[in-house]
Amino acid sequence: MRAIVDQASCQGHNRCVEICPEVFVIDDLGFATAISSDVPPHLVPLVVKAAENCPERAISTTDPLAEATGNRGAHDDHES
Amino acid sequence: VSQSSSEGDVEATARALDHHGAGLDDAMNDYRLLLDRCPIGHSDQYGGFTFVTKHADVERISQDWGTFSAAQGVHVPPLYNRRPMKPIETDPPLALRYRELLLPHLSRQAVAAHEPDIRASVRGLLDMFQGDPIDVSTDFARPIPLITFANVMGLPAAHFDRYDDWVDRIFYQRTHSPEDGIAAADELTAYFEQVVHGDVGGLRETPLFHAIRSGAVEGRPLSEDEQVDICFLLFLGGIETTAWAMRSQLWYLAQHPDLVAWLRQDPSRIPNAIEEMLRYFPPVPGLARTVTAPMTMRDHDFTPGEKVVLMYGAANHDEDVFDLPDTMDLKRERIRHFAFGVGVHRCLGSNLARLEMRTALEEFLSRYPRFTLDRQASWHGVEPLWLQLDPAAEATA
Repeated sequence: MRAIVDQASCQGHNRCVEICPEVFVIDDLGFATAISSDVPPHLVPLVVKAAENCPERAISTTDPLAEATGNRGAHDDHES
Repeated sequence: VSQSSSEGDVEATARALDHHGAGLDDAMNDYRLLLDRCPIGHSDQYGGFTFVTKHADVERISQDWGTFSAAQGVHVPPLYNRRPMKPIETDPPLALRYRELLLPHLSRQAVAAHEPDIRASVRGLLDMFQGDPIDVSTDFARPIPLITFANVMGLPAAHFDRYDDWVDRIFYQRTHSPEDGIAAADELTAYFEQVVHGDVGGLRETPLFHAIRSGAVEGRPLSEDEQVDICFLLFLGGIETTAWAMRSQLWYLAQHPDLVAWLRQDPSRIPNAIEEMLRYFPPVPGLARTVTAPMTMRDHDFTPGEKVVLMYGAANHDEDVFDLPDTMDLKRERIRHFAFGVGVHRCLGSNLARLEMRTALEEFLSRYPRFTLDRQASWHGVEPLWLQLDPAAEATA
C-alpha cells in the first residue's frame, strides 16, 4: 500500500503528521506529502487512521493487489 | 426526539437557532433535530441567516470559495471590524498569499519550538492556584492562550488586562450590545496600529511578527492596514477560542473521574481525547459565508447575497459521519471534525492551539488526579468554572 496526499486539497491541518509521522512529512508551509515507498505493514493502520481523520479528505491509498493486476486506482479513504 | 417532534417544533427550533451565548445551552438537541429534519434552514436571529448543518454540506461549501465568499465577513452578527480581517475575510488568490506569509510560523513543526515556554507558563499558573475552589477559567484556561499569543507575537505582558476586556466585549457583549462591540473593535484596531507602527514599548521582533511587519504579497510590501488586519485576526482567533476549548475540556473531565484516571494512566491518550472533545464542544460553533452565485443543495436554492452560517457544531454531530455522534468517546478513531473549519480558511493557529491544549491538560492532570465541579456551569463560553481540586501527594512532590 502507498499513501498519496492530494496537494490541491491539503490545507495543512497536520493531523496526518501527528498520527503517522513515519509516513507523512510536512514542508515549510505545513502542507503534507507522503513518502513515495510502500507503507510498512505495521504502519498501515495508522495510515488508514490518518486518511480517516484528514478534514479535507486529501489522503488516499493504493491497493497493492490492484496495482499488481494493473487495475491501479486511488481508493477513497476507508469510511464506513 | 427527532421522530416525535412536530413540523411546528422543527420550524420553531430552526427559527430560534442561535450559535451564541444561551442559544448554545441546548445545542446538541437542536443539532440532532435539525440534522434529521431540517438540514438546511433559516434562523430569524440577528436579522436572519441560512444555516447548514450536514457535515458533507459544510465541507462542500467551505471548499467552494468561488460560490461562497468569505470577503463579506464570516461572523453573524458581524464583529464590527472596519476592514476585513486578513486572511479569513478575503478570498483566494489573495487569501493564499497572506496565508503563505503566516503558515511557516504556525505549522506543527514550527510551533513545537514554543512548547517549553508554554509548559513553563502552564506550570506557573498552576503554582499560583490558591484556595479551594478555583475558577479554572479565569486562572488557567483564559491566561494560557493570552500569554502564548503575546509570546509568539512579541507583545508585552503589560497589556493583558486590556486583552481580556477586548475579548469579552467583542465576542460576548456585542451579540446583545453592538455599540460596545464596535467601540472595542475600534480600540483593538487602534492598539494594533500602534503596534505595527512601533509605538508600543516592549515589543520583540519574533519570527511571526517579523513575517507580518516585513511581509510582501503580489510583489509589494504589506500596507500598515493589512498588517493591522492580520494582527486583529490572530488576536481574535487565537485567544478566546483556545480558552473556551480548554475550559470545556476541564468542565467535561470534572464530571468523569474515570476518564481522568484513564488519561493519567497513559498521557499519550490525551491528543486523541482532545480531538474528540473538540468535536463535541467546538469553540467556534459556526462561521459564515456569503453566496456569490446561484446554487442548489438539498432542494435549497442559494441566492447571491444570502448569508450562510456553517454550523460546525452540528456537522460534528452528524451521524452520517460519526458513529453514535452524541456519545463522547475519547477512544474514537475517526474524528474528522470541523472545530478548526475546513477548506482554504482552516484555522491558521490550529497547531498552536493543539499544543497549548495538550500541554495544559498534561500538566493539569499530572497535578490533580481528582477534580469536581464546585457548582453548575454551562459547557460553552469562557465564564467562570469553579472546580474543587484534590492534589495528589505524589504528583505535587
